[in-house]
Amino acid sequence: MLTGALFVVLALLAHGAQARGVSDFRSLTLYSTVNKVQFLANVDDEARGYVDNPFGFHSKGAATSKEDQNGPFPGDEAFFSFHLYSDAAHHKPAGVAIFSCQYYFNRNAFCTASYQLKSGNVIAGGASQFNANNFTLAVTGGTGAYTNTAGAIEITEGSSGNSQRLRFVLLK
Amino acid sequence: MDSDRSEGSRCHRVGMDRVAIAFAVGVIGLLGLAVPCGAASSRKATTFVVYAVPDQRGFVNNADDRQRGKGNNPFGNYHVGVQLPSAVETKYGPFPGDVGLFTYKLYTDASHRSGAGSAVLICQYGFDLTGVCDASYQLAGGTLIGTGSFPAKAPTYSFEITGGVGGYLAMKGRVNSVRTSGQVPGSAGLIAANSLVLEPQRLAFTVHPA
Repeated sequence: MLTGALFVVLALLAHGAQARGVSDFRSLTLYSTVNKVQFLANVDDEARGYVDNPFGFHSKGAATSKEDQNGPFPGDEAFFSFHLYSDAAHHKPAGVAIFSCQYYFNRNAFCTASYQLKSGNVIAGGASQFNANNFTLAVTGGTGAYTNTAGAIEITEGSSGNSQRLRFVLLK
Repeated sequence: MDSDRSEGSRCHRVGMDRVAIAFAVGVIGLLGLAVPCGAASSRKATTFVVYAVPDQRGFVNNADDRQRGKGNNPFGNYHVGVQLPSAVETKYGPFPGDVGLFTYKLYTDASHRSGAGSAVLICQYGFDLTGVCDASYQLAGGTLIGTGSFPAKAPTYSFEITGGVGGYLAMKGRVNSVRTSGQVPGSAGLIAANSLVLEPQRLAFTVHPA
């Protein structure tokens, strides 16, 4: 049943792609594990910016500067690298990925991502919430086999705490 | 060999009947993956207008990091010969490295009565008050992603729409922003205080399938 449903989903997307004049439609599922994380706690720069800025506004500071309790705060940044795999068991390497996230209000971030796959890079971006179990990025471009590619990447939490399932819908 | 396709699938021309389409729409809805919007039935461009009202705003003043980077950086003493007019952020900023964070409530009408979603603009400033900005427009039918650059005091700006999700899957295009009101009260005399990012705006979108 599930296989049949998946086929129909892919068929409809392909139909949509064809109707759009899109020459190529591709669905791709990959799996990722977190490799490295770097967080920039810009609390000093944020506090300075509350009162010393060129836009003439004064903002209220964060209730606390304790990042581990209430962060990330607006202005913080985070960088992530990932190992990519073509199988859920993480046995078959498929490339690497990097994320650069700029946090803004209510623990939301705008992230840009680069997925470096064997036949090219996929570039994506979009907003995500700090506590979200899943989010979707828009594919904004690519290189190599992914030149002039558009689409989306649906990212869901994987089976372990630091793993993710990535579903690419790519159109050319 | 294209090993990126190991667990994927590729389709070029697939036929289906109406029953299958109806079933697929339901399945796709469950999976949270939307089919491209109505405009996606052709490559024809779609235009629409929304009105943005500033909501939250923040600023990351990286003055200390900028100072630390002078002479203590991996690019050499690039600072020699480069003179910033003043370190007074309120009059001459934003300076390179600063970040502006701006969110908006979106409306379908100029009187701001009918909500249309929200937007965020994140600008990393470089030289000459110019920021390179990422934008996310979260509308009822999906989300559009944009990018572009403009000086902090520019009266208008245009962003490229580089992609979208949901009903705007794989959309490209452009958004043009113009102010819909006058100056921000009490901001006279400040260089960037009248910036468009702090004011209500009219956003005109033109999007088309990639």
